[in-house]
Amino acid sequence: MDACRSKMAIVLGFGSLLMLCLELIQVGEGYLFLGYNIVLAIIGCIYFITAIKIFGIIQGGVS
Amino acid sequence: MEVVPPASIFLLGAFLVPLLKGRLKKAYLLSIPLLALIDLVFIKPQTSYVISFLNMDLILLQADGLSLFVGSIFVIIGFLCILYSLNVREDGQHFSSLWYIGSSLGVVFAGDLFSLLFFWEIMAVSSVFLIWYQKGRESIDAGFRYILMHIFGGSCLLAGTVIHYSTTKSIAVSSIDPGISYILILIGVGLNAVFIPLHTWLPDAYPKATITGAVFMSVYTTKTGVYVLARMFPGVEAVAYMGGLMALYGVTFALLQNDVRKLLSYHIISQVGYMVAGIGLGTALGINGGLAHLFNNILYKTLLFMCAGAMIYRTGKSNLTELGGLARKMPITATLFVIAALSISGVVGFNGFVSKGMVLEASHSLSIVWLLLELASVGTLLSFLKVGYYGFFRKNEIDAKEAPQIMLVAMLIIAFLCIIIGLYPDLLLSILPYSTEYHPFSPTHVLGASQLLMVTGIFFLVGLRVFSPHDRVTFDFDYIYGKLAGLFLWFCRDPMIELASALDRMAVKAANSFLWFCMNPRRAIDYLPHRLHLFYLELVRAEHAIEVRVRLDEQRIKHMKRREQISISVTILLVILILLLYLFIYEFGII
Repeated sequence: MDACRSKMAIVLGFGSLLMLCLELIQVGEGYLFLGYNIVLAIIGCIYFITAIKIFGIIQGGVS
Repeated sequence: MEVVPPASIFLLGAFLVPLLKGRLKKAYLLSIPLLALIDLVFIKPQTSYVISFLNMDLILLQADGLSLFVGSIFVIIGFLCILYSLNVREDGQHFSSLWYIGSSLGVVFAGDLFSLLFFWEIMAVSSVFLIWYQKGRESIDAGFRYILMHIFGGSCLLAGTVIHYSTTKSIAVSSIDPGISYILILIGVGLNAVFIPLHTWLPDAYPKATITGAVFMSVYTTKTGVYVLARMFPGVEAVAYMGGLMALYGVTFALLQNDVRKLLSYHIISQVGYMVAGIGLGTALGINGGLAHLFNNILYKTLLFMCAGAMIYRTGKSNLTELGGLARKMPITATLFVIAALSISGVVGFNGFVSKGMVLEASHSLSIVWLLLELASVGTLLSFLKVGYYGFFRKNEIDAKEAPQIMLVAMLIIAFLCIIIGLYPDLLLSILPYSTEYHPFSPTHVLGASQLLMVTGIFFLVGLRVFSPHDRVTFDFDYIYGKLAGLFLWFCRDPMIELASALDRMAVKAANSFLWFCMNPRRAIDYLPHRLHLFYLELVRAEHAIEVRVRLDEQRIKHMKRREQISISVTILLVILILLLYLFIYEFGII
């Protein structure tokens, strides 16, 4: 992973942590499940990576 | 003031296009949607325009909040699409585009099913020329497949309409009771709204259309399908599930694509899925969300197709494996692409965030639909990060220059609308047809969407190699359809031809028998009981069957030789008697 991408990933990581903290404050007000969108994003990414791998194997022919 | 159906302005206006040249033609082309927009301003809810045809009142214009909302965005984006396509030299393409827009407006404002069906068919026929004008072998074949699918959909819609009319005597475009007509109409409409597995025509045809044709097509066909769904099938739970499935299915296949326009085509399926889900949910928020998403999607999807068109126009390439480094060569197009990508991904401050949030909030009542839509959001961002990185930002030396000015003007206007609606969502929310309470910038929504997108971004950056484009063939349902079509052709070629030959042999035999009978009918009548007797003997395998057969064959030959005994006139008389007998039976209804 090159330096630029690493920096961007770190910035996004901090950003999502910040969002999580803000959400924590909202939980105090009593209307959120903490971090469920992060869980959804992880499940989603795992699903898509798996789909790409599986389709890559099934549809491996070159056009 | 007297108003006319907006469709007629486009349909009639198209006839003057081939007669004009140069700047006058460009000005005239732009004046058509402007005229339609002025017409729309004067059309108030409840306005109607009725013509009488075959003792039936056909309502060519029936205005209400829903039709005016969809009609307005169709006309506005029609203007921008025409602006984008002003450099196109073929009059036929302009003519097809105008008829395509006109017929789509005809569908939107149709007050009865027959008028709707009429415009529906024009829409299919006019749009196919936008594919054929690309002129390659692939485009011509894709056009035929496209029209074949739409003829199937139109036939279902026609059959459903006729059955519905014969049972209820109603041709109103409104919710209908479940039954055969319900299913047929749903299939017909669902084909345009790209229901899975009726969606294959879209990713097949759109990438093979002309550059400007694909921009037009990304707007109208699917959105008219969604509009008719909103009219006839709101609150159908199965439709909501279909929407969720479409959203995830479309985006999964989009991620596998290498061709930019094919990727965007699969994204249409995914985005239409959000609209279909909203309509299927049936609540005021759901339907409003679906329609708001229709409005926003038309904007950013058109912009994405325009950016892709500009890329192809300048580089002659459409595969991500061949593209890259365009952000330096085409900075304005790259910026506009980023705006469209952020909009479609539902980033805060862009229009997609507003409407996607509405549908997601409405979908909480159906948790599976909600989950499918949320997962689709992740895939949407992943695939646009992929297009952005491999198309514009990765290092690659490619020969290109910025898109033509006229294209950029149209793209800039749409990008401006994407941002302005994203920042001031009340501009859109205030014109939605149903009244609902919705606050797009609630902390829950803003924080949730931001977390989802940031974590997805991290995954993309870390696993960049996984998402790299490949020059592969991706098989969809069209692979199965291709196999089924092959099977059908084999069935027509082999067993059916065999059957036809057998029928032909039987007909020849019957004709010969008749001829033989006519040569000597009296002897033939004597001969027939013996023949039946022989048939019986052969059936029971009697020992003397062979002797009887030999004797009968001799008689048959004698019969042939003695044909002079009864003249042809007697035969004709006999045939006339048979015909008279048939007439008698038919007339008096004995049978």
